[in-house]
Amino acid sequence: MTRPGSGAVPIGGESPTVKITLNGEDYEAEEGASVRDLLEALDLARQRVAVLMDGEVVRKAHFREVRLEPESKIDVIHMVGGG
Amino acid sequence: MNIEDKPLRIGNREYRSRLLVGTGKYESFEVMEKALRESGTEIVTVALRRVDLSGKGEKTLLDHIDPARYTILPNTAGCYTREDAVKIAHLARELEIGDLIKLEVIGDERTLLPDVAATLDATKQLADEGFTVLAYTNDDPVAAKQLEDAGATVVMPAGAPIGSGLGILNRNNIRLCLEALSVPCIVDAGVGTASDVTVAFELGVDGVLLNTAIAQAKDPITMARAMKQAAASGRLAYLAGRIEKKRYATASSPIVDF
Repeated sequence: MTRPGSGAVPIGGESPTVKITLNGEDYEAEEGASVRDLLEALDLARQRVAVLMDGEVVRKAHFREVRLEPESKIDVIHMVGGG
Repeated sequence: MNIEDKPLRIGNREYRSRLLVGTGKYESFEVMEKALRESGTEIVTVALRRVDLSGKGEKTLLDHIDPARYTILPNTAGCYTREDAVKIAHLARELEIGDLIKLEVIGDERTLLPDVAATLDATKQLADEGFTVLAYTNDDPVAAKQLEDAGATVVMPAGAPIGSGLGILNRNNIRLCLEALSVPCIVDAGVGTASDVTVAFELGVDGVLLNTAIAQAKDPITMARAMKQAAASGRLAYLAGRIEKKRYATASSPIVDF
């Protein structure tokens, strides 16, 4: 998978990828990757994050089952300062 | 007689501190961490936003807030519709930090005052789904009671617009809210300095939530300490029972007897 804006080639050579939008930016994920796989690639799997796919909340219990589709819009959310 | 205060009860938890403090607008995480500690708060609010994926391993908020020390209260700040607020509450639930939610559905961008109708709808839905809803509202006692009836565990009337520092603009309405409610009433928003906190507690509120007044004070850590003392002082004065206000003087010394 490639990090947004990193310019890096997909890890492992030319494995098929799927184009998604990740936190508002274009991103190429590995084809067939799950939400969990995506978080692993982003080094966020052990962080306290929540995920929206196409505007809907993905239950944490389903991270391993829900697969990324072409044109999926993914938002990875965490806690920030607020009043 | 030595008055002992009861703890603040929210849901199934009890708290000794009656201050709730926000984590936004600090100049740094380090200042925030020290200010929270000085305030003595046990409940801190957070917002939910996108992870900055270009962050390159920078520390995040959770690196500076110990969930063992603080109850984390996620808010739905920035939401203008019931649907968006409910979605953020659902996201918060997936973070597995508890079932508390500080519900805000904003009605106006300039004043950040609430859309009370949408807040009522969201309160009903989230309370039915098992959330412990702390509902941000205005200082209208009718709205306050409606939110309690809709299932809010805590009702949070604004003293003044968020971040305005104007203090408690309508003390009579806050008092009326207190009379209308049987659930805790925590003033949220508008506090500017220590005396505003004291005034709120002297009215009889169960708690005060503040953020900007500490975070953007010239010395947030000292202000946090001031707020802690202000809260304690206002609460004690309320429990002690103040004298009535009178139009004319009543001498403090006996009349001259020589």
